Amino acid sequence: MLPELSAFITLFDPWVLCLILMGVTSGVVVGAIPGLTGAMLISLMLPVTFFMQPYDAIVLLVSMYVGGTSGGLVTATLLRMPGSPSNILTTFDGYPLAKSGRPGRALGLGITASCVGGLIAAVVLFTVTKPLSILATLFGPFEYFSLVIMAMVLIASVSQGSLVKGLIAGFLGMLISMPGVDPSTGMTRLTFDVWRLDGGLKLLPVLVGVFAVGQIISDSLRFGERGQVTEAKTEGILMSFSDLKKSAGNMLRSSLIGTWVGILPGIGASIGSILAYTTQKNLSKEPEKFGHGSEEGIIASEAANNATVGGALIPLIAMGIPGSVVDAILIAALMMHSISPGPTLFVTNGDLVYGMMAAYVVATIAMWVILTFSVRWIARIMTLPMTFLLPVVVVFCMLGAFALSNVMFDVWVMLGFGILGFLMDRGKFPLGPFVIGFILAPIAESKLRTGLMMTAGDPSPVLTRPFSAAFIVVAILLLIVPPLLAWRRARKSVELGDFDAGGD
Amino acid sequence: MNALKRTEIGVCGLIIVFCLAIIWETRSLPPGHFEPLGSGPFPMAIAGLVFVLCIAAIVIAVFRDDTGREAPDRATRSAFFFVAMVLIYAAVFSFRAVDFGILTTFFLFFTIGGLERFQRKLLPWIVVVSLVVGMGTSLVFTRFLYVDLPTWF
Amino acid sequence: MFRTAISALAILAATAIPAIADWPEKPIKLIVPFGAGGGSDQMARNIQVGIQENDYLPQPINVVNVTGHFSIGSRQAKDAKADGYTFLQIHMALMGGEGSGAIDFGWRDFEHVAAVGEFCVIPVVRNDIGIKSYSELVEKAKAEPKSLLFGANLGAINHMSGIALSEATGKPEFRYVQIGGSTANFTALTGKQIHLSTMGVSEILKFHLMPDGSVNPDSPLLPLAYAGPERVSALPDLPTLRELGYEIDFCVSNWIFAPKGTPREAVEGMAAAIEKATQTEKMSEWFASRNVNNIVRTGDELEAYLTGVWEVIEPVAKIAAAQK
Repeated sequence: MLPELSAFITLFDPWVLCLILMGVTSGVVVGAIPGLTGAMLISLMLPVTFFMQPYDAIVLLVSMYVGGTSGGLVTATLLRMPGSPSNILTTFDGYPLAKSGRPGRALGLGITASCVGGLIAAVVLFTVTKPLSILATLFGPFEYFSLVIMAMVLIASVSQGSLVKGLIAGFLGMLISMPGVDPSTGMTRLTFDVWRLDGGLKLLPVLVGVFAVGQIISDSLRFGERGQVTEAKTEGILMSFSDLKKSAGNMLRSSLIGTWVGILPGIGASIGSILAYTTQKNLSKEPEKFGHGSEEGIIASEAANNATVGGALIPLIAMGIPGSVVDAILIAALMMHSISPGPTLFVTNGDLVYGMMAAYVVATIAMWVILTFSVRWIARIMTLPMTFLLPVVVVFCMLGAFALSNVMFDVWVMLGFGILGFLMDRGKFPLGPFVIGFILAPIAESKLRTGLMMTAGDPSPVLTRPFSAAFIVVAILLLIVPPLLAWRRARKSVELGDFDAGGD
Repeated sequence: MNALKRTEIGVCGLIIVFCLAIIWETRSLPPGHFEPLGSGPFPMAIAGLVFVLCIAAIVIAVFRDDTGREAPDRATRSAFFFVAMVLIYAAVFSFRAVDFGILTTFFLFFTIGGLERFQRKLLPWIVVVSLVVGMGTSLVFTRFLYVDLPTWF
Repeated sequence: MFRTAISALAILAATAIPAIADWPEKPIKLIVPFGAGGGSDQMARNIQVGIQENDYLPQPINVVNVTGHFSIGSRQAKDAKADGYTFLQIHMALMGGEGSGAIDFGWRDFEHVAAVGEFCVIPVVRNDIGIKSYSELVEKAKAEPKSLLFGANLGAINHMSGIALSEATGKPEFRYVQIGGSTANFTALTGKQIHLSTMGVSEILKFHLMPDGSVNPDSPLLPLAYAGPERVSALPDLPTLRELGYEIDFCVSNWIFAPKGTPREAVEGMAAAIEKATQTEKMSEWFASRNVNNIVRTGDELEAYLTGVWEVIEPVAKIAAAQK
């Protein structure tokens, strides 16, 4: 245990702690601003870290990673603009709870859940890294395909509003992801001869467009309206002991789900939070609250998405395989210092590895401290006049979309999707499934086709390989069981003389 | 027909056009060599599915009884002004003729100012916010981090 | 009056002559059509630092990542003003794209500045499938065509290397499967999803060896040969394909291009600065740590080299396209 301990002790150097603080704070601030993401901050910081010591660079970047993942929950909760894709699920319940006059509680739950999620992932990281990574390599394309299909069924089952509109939104999102390079062949398709579409549409402009810009346009219809939230209650920020006891199962489960999803390279926080959220909804005693300010929902989503950060570090440390997009940037930072992560990273740069792990833990705790103490101030964002807030947010959205690739096209895409998101929201088409469909479709399609390449066209492994079959079974069950239960409940209430208002 | 239904049908209509365009394009995609599907089937199937669902949604909307339902927000002059300003901002930015910091400061000043009708007591705040956000972001994202923004200094 | 006019004209002429002789007068943009952190990006940033730290040029170099498909950033560079202030870093994928018809422009639409660094590929198999040498691989593949799964990024370098090697070594038929780059292929090999792939030298060293140079007992890999002119010093027991009797090398380098019409001074100035940067200690160390050969080709040598690569890649790309 000695190397781990000494790693923690090394962290208590004032300069290092300073780096962690700066990293977490800047990550939180950037993650919170709609249009900017933690991942962007990290990739823009990369050239700057070239001039730092490798250890310092890694500590800073990991802290930013942790901060960025948590920062997104702030605007997701207060403005219904997720700071990053992993916070989409938080808008489902965080925003309604905040809007009902309890933004402090909503934020506080998210913050604590994020911290617990991160710490549980850290425990896994410190204990079973090597065996888990090997296990993860056994996950083949068919398993990925089934997992993603299951996630898509889950998000459709959880979306607000009519099922038809939810499915339209989800499948439309999938469709939008297809123009561009077909990942299974490397050839472009469906670009309608617009060469700028050769690379396809990127997630950030679509996400920011649909959620942030769309929300901005919706909110702009209410300029000057009174009746905005003028008071932001901040009691209930800290979870009481009984709160924690009640949510223990939720937090543990969601964190473990998030950790495992994080380990799988190529799928990340958004899937983790979907799985955790819908699992919790199906196990909850108050499922009808989900989507209307359920505390469990916020906890599940945020615990899982922070756990994926820790989970993603596992294959990175064990085998040099990036568990997420940000991990690839971390690898790049290391390579700039002539350190190439591989299976022997523990041996060649053990102190760096333990430093990374320890920094992750300290950053998670620092994040909790920083955010909890600023909640009072942060919650006041909701009371700012929209006329000031919205134009400023627009500037950041433009900046974020442009900074992605230094191409104006992305800005126009963002604005275009802003209009689409506004119209969809106005017509009561749910936005969450749309963006999730956009994220998941390429994975599902390319994995299925890779699998078919391996088996020369035989799709049966989807149902014969154990994990894959399990995911498909769960997906089918989730498609059939809730409507069945609802139907039975409806029958019962009809017998008792109740009438349900027509749902939409 | 109320505003909600108009929006729903309008959006479904747009989506249907898009689906038809996709299905049209997929017809010219080659079949797969390394695997039986190729680039076409997935998009075509999904586009077809969405098409059917949209027709269903339109039918449901037309026959639905919306009495007692809250109407969506009506369009306002302020909203149009705001959206117009955003589009102008984006357009001027795309020509790369104006320094980003200056452009943003002006955008914020005139937009917030316009929305607040340049009220005396708010002017100092508007100026401060415009300058801080406009010049601040320009500084951070060109001097410290590197984004290819148009600059004059 | 006449005199004033002449002097005015002279001054006008002097200022109108493009101050190219003073290139560079403003910062230089180096477009990298790949994401931050990847191999190309690192090379670009190393060049940037190498030049800037030693003041080989009086103006800074800005590395601009244009992500998405590499053709987008490349096209941006191709269409940029040819004033000597925009450059592109690209590699063989550009030729692959042109050869397969995926993109409508190519290497001949640019001025060629330099080719930097070089590494050659290594075909590698899983060590538990009973194949112990390259010739056994060829035998097995010919006996059971399309039974061996080759992990690649379809359309990209490792795919083309597989086809090129296959064409030159008796045409064994592999089944190509879309997996990704070397890291993804390493994961797939470890997880027993595929049988073989090709990787660069530095990746093989990273995944296969211990820090002291001995083979990692946990490694699932078995490198079979080196597709370069001479053996790699870190892998002394690995034969080259030439030694095994096959007349083929497959080596990859990073190319710096500029828009067509860029003034000679800018092209040559940049090439000279890059060459000097690669000689610095920092860059030499970086090359060594990644097992990339520290070679810079410019001018006529570069033209001949690029033509040679095109002669190999064009037919390979066509085969790859036909297979789709």
